[in-house]
Amino acid sequence: MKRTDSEVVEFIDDLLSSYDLTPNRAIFLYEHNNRIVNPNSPLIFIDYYKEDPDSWCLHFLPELVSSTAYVFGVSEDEIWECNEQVDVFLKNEDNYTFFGAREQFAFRYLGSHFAGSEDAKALIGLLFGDMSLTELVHSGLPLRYDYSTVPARLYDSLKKVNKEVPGVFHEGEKIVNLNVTTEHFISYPRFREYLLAFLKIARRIEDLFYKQLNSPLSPEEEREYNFYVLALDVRPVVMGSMNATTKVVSSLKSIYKEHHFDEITSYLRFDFWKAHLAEPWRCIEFTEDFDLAQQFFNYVPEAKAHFRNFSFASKHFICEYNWSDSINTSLDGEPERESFAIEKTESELEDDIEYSLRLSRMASPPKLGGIVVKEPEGRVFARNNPGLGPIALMANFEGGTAP
Amino acid sequence: MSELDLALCAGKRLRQLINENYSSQEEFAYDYGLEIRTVSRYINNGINKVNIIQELSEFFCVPFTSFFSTN
Repeated sequence: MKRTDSEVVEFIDDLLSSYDLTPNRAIFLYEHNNRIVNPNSPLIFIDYYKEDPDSWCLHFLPELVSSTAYVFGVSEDEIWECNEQVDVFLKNEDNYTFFGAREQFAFRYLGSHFAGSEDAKALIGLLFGDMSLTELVHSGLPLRYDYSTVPARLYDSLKKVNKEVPGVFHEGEKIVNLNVTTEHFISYPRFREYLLAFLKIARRIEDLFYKQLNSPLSPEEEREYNFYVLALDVRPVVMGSMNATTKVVSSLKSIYKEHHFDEITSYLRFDFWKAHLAEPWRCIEFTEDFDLAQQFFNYVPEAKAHFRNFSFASKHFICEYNWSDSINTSLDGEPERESFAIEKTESELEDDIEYSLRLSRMASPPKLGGIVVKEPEGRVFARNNPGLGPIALMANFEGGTAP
Repeated sequence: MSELDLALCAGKRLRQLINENYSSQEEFAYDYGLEIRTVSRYINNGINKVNIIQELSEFFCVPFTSFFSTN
């Protein structure tokens, strides 16, 4: 059946967004691999980072269809016909299990702030999951915690801590502009399948990365590798502004050959937890297999800091606030925010106590039973040799550590 | 103790905990997710934020109050 141009654009947009790709990035990859038929194509002048597909996708529809077909390794006809089976096929195929599982995971997480059955939480999450916690507290929706007790508990806790740390509590003053945040565990039955699928992709990226340093990849290997590094947002450590596509790796080959390091994290940065909010440590199942978790962190060592933050927040209500006298006496506008964490009670943690304790242990130093993360050799080498040009960028790579 | 003394005391305790659990401050910085210069600042200039000490005490599995003990 002949589809309208708008339908085709919508189909492509939906298809790409399932894999956290945008039309801009798909076309970028397409052009990056020299697949544009016409060297004078106006695509060359597109601002790839301008997120306004509606205004220009229609204009470049033939190129967009070609690039999407290339990215997914399907025929252009299937894209023109908006063949829904293309997406189902990709997600059911072994190599693409990760993406389908991730989508379900993110969907479940949206409902985690709410109370009720799993189905009810998922439904409310779908409708209201993007609201901030402060908005939710005033929304009247059924929430997992009773936040009305937090201000009084904060006041009492600060008064108590003031004995050790004078100045924390302001006698006779009020707590104002209070903002409370916290984190929750979710249960995800497909967790193991999800993490194993990620590891399978990570190992495939690793294999193809090393292979291309010595010999060219086949066209299908090239397509597969480029799809994965875009969908998982994998970047070269020495060039954090680009994805580590075959063309980028080729341009860095001389640096890679000059400095040999054993682990892939010295060359590539797997960044998927930041881009996709599908952080595996949010699942209670994550705490049940230490070895599997360790394998995950071998690819994303920098994620341990994010995981530690989550572990802390899952056990506490994190309160940001001001004292009323700070507001009154501040001479330069907004006074600095104070922050203090209130421990959740056993009844608030309910069934999560066991997971919470296990997660805290996993987030602790290795000597205390925590996950081991090793600083990539490349970063250590770069820090100790600051005069070595591009390789020295590793030491100061933006985003190398958690905020 | 003054606020400055308390902050310095907390920095000293952090140094002690790093020495007990890591082979270097760099190793701790990477594991915890801090810039090395931030770790140096905490150790040398002290820690003056209660919430930072709360997180460190949870991480090292030690009581919050141990950061203010002069022993």
